[in-house]
Order: sequence, then structure tokens, then C-alpha cells
Amino acid sequence: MPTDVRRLFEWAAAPDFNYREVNQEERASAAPRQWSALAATNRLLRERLAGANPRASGVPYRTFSIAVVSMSGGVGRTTVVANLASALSQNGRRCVAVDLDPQDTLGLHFGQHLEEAAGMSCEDPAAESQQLLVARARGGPVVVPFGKLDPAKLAMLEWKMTLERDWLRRRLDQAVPRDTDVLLIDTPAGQRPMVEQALSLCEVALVVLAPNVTSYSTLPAIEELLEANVSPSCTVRVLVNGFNATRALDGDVMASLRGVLGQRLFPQPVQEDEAVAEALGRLKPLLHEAADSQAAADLAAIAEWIETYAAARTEPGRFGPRLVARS
Amino acid sequence: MAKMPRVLDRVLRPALALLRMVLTAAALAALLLVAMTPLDMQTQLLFGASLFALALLMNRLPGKLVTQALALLSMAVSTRYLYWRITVTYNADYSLEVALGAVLLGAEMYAYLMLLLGYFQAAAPLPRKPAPLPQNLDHWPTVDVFIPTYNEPLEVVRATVLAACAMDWPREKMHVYLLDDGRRDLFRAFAAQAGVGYIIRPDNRHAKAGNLNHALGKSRSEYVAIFDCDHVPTRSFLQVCMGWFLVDKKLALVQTPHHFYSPDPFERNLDTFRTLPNEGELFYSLIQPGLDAWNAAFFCGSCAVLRRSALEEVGGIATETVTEDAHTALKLHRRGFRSAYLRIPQAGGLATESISAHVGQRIRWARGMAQIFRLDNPLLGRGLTLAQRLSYLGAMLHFFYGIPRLIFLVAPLTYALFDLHIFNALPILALAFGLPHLAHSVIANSRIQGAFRHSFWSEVYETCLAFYIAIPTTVALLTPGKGKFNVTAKGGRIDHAYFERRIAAPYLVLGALNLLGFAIGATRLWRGTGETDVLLINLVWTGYNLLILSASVAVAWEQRQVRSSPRMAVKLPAMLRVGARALRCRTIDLARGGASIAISSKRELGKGEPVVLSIFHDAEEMPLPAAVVEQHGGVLRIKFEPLDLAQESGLVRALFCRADSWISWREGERDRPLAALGSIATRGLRNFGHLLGSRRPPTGKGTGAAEALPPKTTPPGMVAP
Repeated sequence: MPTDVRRLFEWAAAPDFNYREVNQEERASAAPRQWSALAATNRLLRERLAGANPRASGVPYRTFSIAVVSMSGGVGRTTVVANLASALSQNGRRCVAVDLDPQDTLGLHFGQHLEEAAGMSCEDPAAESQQLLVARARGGPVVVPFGKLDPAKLAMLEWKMTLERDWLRRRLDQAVPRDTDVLLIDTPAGQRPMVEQALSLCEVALVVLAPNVTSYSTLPAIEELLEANVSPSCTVRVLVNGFNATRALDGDVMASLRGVLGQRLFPQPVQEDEAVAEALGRLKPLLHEAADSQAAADLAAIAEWIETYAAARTEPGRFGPRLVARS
Repeated sequence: MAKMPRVLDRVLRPALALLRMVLTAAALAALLLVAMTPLDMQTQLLFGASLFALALLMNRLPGKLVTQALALLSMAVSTRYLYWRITVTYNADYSLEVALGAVLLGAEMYAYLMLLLGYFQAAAPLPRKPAPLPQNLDHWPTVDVFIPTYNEPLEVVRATVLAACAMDWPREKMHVYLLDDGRRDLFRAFAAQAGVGYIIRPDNRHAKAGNLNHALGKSRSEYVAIFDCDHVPTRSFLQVCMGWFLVDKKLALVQTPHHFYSPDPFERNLDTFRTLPNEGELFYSLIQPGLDAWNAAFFCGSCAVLRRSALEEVGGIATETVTEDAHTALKLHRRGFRSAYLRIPQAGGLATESISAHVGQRIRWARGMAQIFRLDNPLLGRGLTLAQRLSYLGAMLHFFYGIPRLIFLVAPLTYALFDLHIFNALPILALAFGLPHLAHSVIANSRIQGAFRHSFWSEVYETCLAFYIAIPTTVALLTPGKGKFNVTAKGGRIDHAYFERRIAAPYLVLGALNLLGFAIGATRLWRGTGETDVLLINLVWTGYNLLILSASVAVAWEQRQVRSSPRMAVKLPAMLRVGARALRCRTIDLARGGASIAISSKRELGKGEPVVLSIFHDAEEMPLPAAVVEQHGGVLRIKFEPLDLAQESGLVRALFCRADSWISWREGERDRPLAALGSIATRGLRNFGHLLGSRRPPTGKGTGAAEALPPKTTPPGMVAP
């Protein structure tokens, strides 16, 4: 329920009043009428969501895990993972961010050298203990890069993963310390074995969208991917990244998404903000570089949601109190 | 087994009714016993003192029952006083003293009657909650929204129309109409642009009532919501109001409070805005819920929803009197319809802009109520319950306070100036009977009303108007057909502070007389040329009159009001787009033309720099183009560029339409009678400050909030968590 309405009815001693945001509902149905591409996607998406029947029966990973996925590239997946990891660490959570994207750019956000060869993909037994982890940087998250693989080796690895369904679980066991509170998994775009394995063991699947028609039209495919891979207990949340309401389409995409996804959508998008790119350009965390950035605030709000959700969902002790108070 | 309850019911119901009758009779007998038992002076003093001590002790206990007990105690003591007053102090004789004494006694009897009716009205205020609506939107009823206007500026009307369109109600089930009795082309163009209906008529017969009735004939939804053209509804208005209509098929009216976001003349000129309860709060927070408990809550002309079929049954909005609203409600009640009052502020309006406009409005109300009293007296005629008759009686008699209050203001002068004894009793006896009467009513009323009206402030509010409503009410009683509707001016500006001589003149005269009386009384006391005890009582009374009169005169010092649409301390999370950067910020205050924003003081924005402000108050983000005016550290002032209609609507929604816009609006202390007296005295002393300061008094802080930086207090209701 929106804040103003909740406050009103609490004040009026009728907190259970079933308020209908009629205008928003009407806006949601008006948007697809205006943009036919949205209408076409919504039809497919509604069918998919109506018949949703998770087939997978995966067991969640021992650490509370979040898989960040998208169908199309360039929507800001890695940026979201990096900033959520920073925000969670800053909140005193022991956080591990794992990169499963062969582009291997997550480390970049934490000032990691691009030539590092070690990481998730590097299965050399000798290098195992030596280079898997990248040290916690000044109270920041533990970042596990993907590692550098040439195309042939990458193809081999993906082939291997299609056979060994527990590959990711095994590798995570080696990489993730037992006392970790949250595990964030960055994945490559599209339907690939890494994505499937990440989805099968996560408790929250975070779908990142850009507020444009291309990204919007991938939603049915994403839902299909989720349906095939996530466990029944997994929660799906869709996040719109790079939102700018001065563009007419953005607002309509958001309204339409609200209508068709409901609770599945994060109500607040992450605003488009040059500060995000600039922080990466300086290889500095966004929260430090631009404290008054709206995008940083939006991401921090999602980190906040993750903490609340995890505390409510996981058994006592698994997601305990924060280690240090937020500065 | 199933029959058992019915049998029980058949036995219990008459038994309970009988029990209630016996108890009522016993209580009345006890009351009369208390009132009529003669006591000698010492015993009466002791009796009064012990009851007073009991009341003080009881007042320390919480609970509604204690409140009612205190009211009963006050009723008993006042009845005793009046009984003594009539039987002992008054003797029919033909002399000037006796004639004047009768006048005073009449005024006291009126005050006593109003005290009783007041207790009755506020006996058990109904804390009504909104009723839920059906899940299925198809079952929601259709509503016409009427916004009558006559001569108000378009600027004021625009916000109301845009906000009405933004109410959360299915589009095809809501029809907004602008009813323009001014027949202005600009309004027609705006209505077309906003996509709302525009209704005009060839003449202006019966003013607002006629305008509404004409529109009733041109529309056809099941319900009619009415907003004065400056009352901007929140988005939740209809969902809050409509539920009860579906629950109760005989319900004809749901009324909500009139909330004013600009200071009224009292608040502005006495500097009480948002710290002390304003004049309307007692009525909308206590009396209307109290009336609702008796099914007698009445229509107040705006911020209400009416059932069309019921309205048609009584022939539309009443046109016989100038207070068409209360009269319409009376007619509905007579027909057996019910009314409901929801004490949930769901619209914000502009208060009257000046004390003279305020007086004009109240003259209309008083005249209208007197007209109804004469033409359609609630005590007579069919269809009302006893409780409804008493409720309406209270509401109408209230407006006859003019003459009694003037009598109380001059009564003590009769002895000081002319040596007349109009109160024929030993002073010590007068104290023994009179003091408990006054003290208990202060205690009980402070307890009942304290949260909504501080002690003694009623006297200030009423004294200000007493002179002006005394004549119209009397005239209306004699010739009820006379008098026309006058429109209350709103949303104006006062460029220079000035003293409203026209309004203050009668109170200056009364003040001078009381001052003279006080001086003569004090001199006589000093010289010993008079009865000491009588003089003392008269001095205290005159002193009290001077206190109230000086506060009433202080209201006439009109303070500057610079903005016609005030800046409001709306504190919401927001975002400022500057180039490709999105800066997180918060609004400090908002107005139709611009905003103040708290941003990181590290950012430095140049004058005139283009920015885009987004205010986050509901799901939909509406970016508003603006330009930087100036920056002082972390406070940035911006001015909006010309906004298109969608953007203007977005701004109006952020300013006025949040569901919680007007809850917890005032921050203030609870009533403490002696402190209230002190605060009235402070206001009265300002006269001298104004006089000494210069001919042009300094601008008050109250209006300053409309112009300068953040007001001193931020109501919690305005801050989003």
C-alpha cells in the first residue's frame, strides 16, 4: 500500500481498509493501448504467468542467495550486483559477489585488474586455494571473478555444466565462506547453463530490465526460463534500471509493468544517473563517490529490501543481526 | 433453542426500557434535589467547595465515563445556580434595576441552555470509521462531482478541478462538473482542456443552491459530491466517503471536515496558526461527531457526498434560506433519511482572507440559521427524533449569542458607572452560587473540548462577531424572507498591514466603556465610596471583559498576506535532474509556482540553471521543469517553468492530493484553562505593541510562513517516512 494511504488509514483507525489505486490501475491498462509493442508482450506474459507451474525442484543453497538475471545485455546487471554488494557490506552484512558472466567485468567495479586469470571458471587444482578469492577490500564484499577463458575453453566449460548439474554448487562450496550472510550471483545475458544453475539454487531471482521495448519484450522468455529453473520457494522480483521519467515511454513501461506484474515488480525503479558510469570510470563504489545520487539511493533501498526479506524468510541464525552499524 | 434469544429479547427489551425510564426519572429527581435544596450560606460555601474539590480529583482520572460525570456535575451545579438566581435574586418589581436585572437573567438563561445543549451534543461523539467498498469495481456507484463557482479567480479553481479529476475512482463512474455562475469564457476553455463538464445557467437565482439544483437537472449519477471551488480534495476522498452509502440504503449524506491550509484572520492576526486549535476545529472535531451519534450530523455545503434520490425527494438543495446546507440536511432528516459524519480531513481549502470577509461569512451563517429557526423550526413539524430536535436546536440557537454576549460585556458597568444593582444578592452568596457554576463549566468543557478549543477562546471568537450577528439574527427572526447570499472572498492577498477600523469600532467603544468602568470602580474602591465586595466582583468581571475585548480588537490588526496560494511545508522525498545527473533531495516547501529543496550543500547550482524536479509521493512520477532561483548552502529555491496541464496536475497532486495531506496538521499543547487565559492576555497586549510600533505593525510570523523559509513547526503528517 502506498505510504500516504497507509498513514491515512492508520490515523483513521482503519488500517485494514482495502484501498484501490484506481488511477494507477487505469494508467496500467492505458499504457499498452498506447504502445502496441507492450500490448503484444503483455498478452504472452499473462499467458505465461497464468499457467506458471515451476517444474524444477532445486534445493536452495546453504547461503541466502540472489541470482541477478536478464535476457538482453547492457541493462546494468553487473552494476546492480556490484552496488547491492557494496550496500549490503556497508550495512554490516558479510557478502560474497560471484561473477558467472564470461565477460568478467564484476571485478572491475571493485578495482580489480583485468588480467587476473583466476576465478570461478579456473578449475586448475593447483590454483584452487591460491586465487579463487579476491580479498575483502576495506570492509567491502568478497568478490569472486569469473576468470579469463578463451572461447574454446568456455565452450568446454559450458558443455561440462550441462552434464554436471551441481557444478555451481560445488564451486560455490569452495569459494563461499561458511559465515557468509548473502551471496549475489551475476550471470550472463540469455539462456545459458550458468544462468540455469544460478537460478536453481537461489532464493531470490532478481530480473533486471531496461525501460525500453526491447527489454520489455524479453519478459515472456525470462518467465519461461524462471519457470524451468527456479525452485518453488524462490521469489522473483523484477527491477527496472536506468529509468528516466522525462522520456514518455519510460513512465508507460513502468505503469504497464505494474499492471501485469503486480507484486513481482519493485515499485521504485533505479533512476538513470550519470553518477553510476562516472563512479565506474573512477573505479570507485557509487555510494562513496556520489552520496547524493538518486540511483545510489534506489539501489540502497533494494539492499534494504533484501535484508528485510532475508531476515523474515530464513531460519533464525542464518541471517543474523548486522555486524556493524551503518555509518 | 433458536427461540430462546427471541423470547429473551421480548422480555429484556421492555425491561431495559423500563429500567432506563426509572433511572432517568431518578436522575432527574436527584438533579432537582441538588438544585432546589435550600442551604444556609456557610453550608452552601462548603457544598460548593467540596464539589469543586471532587471535580478536580475526578478530572485526574481518565475515561469517557468520568467526562460524562463531570458534565453531569456541572449541569447540577449550574441548575442549582439558576434556580437560586430565579427564585431568590429576582423579584418582580417595576424599577430600572429590576428591568436590567431581567435582561441579565435572560442572557444567563440563554448561556445555561447552551451549556446543556452543548453537553448533549458532545455527550458521546461517534468515532465513525470509513466503510469498505466491494472488491469488484463494477459494483462501485457513479458519482457526479460539482464544483460551483461564481467570482473566484481561475487560479483557485484550477487546482480543485484537477484534484477532483485525480481522485481514485473509476474514470467512467465519475463525472466532474464546473458550475460557473460567472459564465466566464476562460473557465469554459479550461473545463474543455481539463476534460470536465461545464454547466452554466441564464440567471443566478438562489445563488449556490440554485446553481447546484440547476446542475442536478443536467446530470444523472447516483451520488453527488460537492466541493466549494477552493476545497481541493485528496485522492482518497471518494473511497473514504462512499462505503457507508452502500451499507446503509437510507443514508443520504456523508460529510467530512472543512480543513483550511491557509491561516484564517484569527490565526494570522493573533499568530495562532497551527499551534492553537482554530475556530472550526471544535465544530468539525467534536460537535459534528457528537451530532452524528444522534443521527443529526448536518451538511456544511462542501466536502460532502449526497444521495441523489434522497436529494430529489426533498426537492433538491433548499433555497428558502441563505444557509442552504443545514436546511437541506434538516429536510432530509425530516424525511427519515440518515446522515453520517467522517472526521477524516479529505480536502484542503482556503480560509477567509480578511476579518471583514470572515465577519461577512458569519453574518450569513447566523442569518441563515435564524431563518431556518423561524421558517422550519426543528422543535416543530414531523419526522424528527427528540435527539435530532435538540441537536438542531443547539446548532441554531448557537448563533443567537450576539445579544447575550453584549449584555455580559456591559453588565458590570451598571454598578460602577450608575450605581445600579441589577444582581440582587449578597456578594458572598453570589460567589457561593456563581463560582461553582462557572468553575465546573470550565472544568467540564476543558475536558470535553480541550483538544479542539482551548478554554476562553470561544469568548474571543464569539465576541468578535457578537456585535455583527446580533442584528441580522434578530431581523431574520422577525422577517425571515429578507437577506441574500453573499460570496465569501478567498485566496486574496493583503499587501500592507493595516488596522480594520470598521470591524474593531464597536469593540473599541465597549473596551473604552469597560476601561472607564474599571477606572471608576478602582477609584471608588480606593476612596471607599461604595460596597467593597460588590466593587471587587465588578472589577474582576470588568477586567475579564477587557481581556477578551482586547484580544478581539487585536484581530483587527490585519497582517500582511503576500501569496494568494500559500507555500506549504510539504516534506517529501524528491529528485532533481541536473544535466545527466539525478540528485536525491527532499522538498522543504512547495507552492504552485516553485519549491524549496534540501540538497547536498556540496552541489553548487547557478542561477537560472535548468533542472527537473520529481516529487515521490505516489507510484507515478511526474517530472516538473524548473529553473534555479538561488541557493543558500543546502537549500535550493527553484521556480517552475510554465507547466502543461499534465504537469500542473502532477504538482497539484503532490501539493494537495496525498491521502494523508491534512491529518495531524496542528501541533500544540492540550488545554490548560489558566494558560489559555494567559495566552489570550498576550494576544490582547499586542494591541499596545502595534500602537507603539508605528502605525504599520510588523508582519506577523504567522504569515511569514507563507513567504519565508521553513515554518517553525513541521506537522508530522506532512513528512513521509
